[in-house]
Amino acid sequence: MVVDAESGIVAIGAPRQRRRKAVHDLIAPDFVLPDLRGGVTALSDHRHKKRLLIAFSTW
Amino acid sequence: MIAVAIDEDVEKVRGFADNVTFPVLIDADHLLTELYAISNVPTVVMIDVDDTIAYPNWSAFGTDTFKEFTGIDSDTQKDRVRSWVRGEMAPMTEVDARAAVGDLSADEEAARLHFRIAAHLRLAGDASGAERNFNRAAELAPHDWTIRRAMIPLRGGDPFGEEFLELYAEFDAAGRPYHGVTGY
Repeated sequence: MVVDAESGIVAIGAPRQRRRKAVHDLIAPDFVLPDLRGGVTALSDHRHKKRLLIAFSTW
Repeated sequence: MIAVAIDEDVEKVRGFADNVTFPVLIDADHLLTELYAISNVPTVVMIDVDDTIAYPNWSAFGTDTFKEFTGIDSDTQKDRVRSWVRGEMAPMTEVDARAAVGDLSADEEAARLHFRIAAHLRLAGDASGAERNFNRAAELAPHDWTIRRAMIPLRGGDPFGEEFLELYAEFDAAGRPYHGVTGY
């Protein structure tokens, strides 16, 4: 958790255990994000398949 | 394939992802970098049918655009992905896979949250509040590209310009830290 006192904003991160699942238990944590088609897509929408997860950017 | 843009600009991402048939997701809050300890892009994770991570964070490139910087040959890497998909390449051993990706430090976690606050304040029109939080994020994670380079366009700079080259020099001098494997 991080507090920006000047703006009064508090940002709360994802629980560390979720990342531990990836880096220690080697189980891919699920996530749901908006997609370019205007809906949302979850990693688990494609379960029971091999998945190549690609993090990219325009920067 | 599931592509996740660590980016807030949907239209820019759309320009990059024209004609692709796989899902392209927009991760404006950089959630994926938190969940998978990602510090640079492109980072690829190979996930098996049972959700186990066969090959963790891997600095893989689809093209040779950055070969000059990384020394990574994209064709070799694409061949490896194909072998894995066909079942010709066994998953990494658990010991190796665990050793491959260091967890984020508390500072790197906090940097992500300051970045998130900065991006929010920028969109809300609080330029000085955004700067304050971008600066804090950069102090906390000076060699994390998802922080340092991602903020360049949000602060009006050119992510392929002089600032990128300066960042690269700092990153190189620091031993090119990366949460993952730079090519298999």
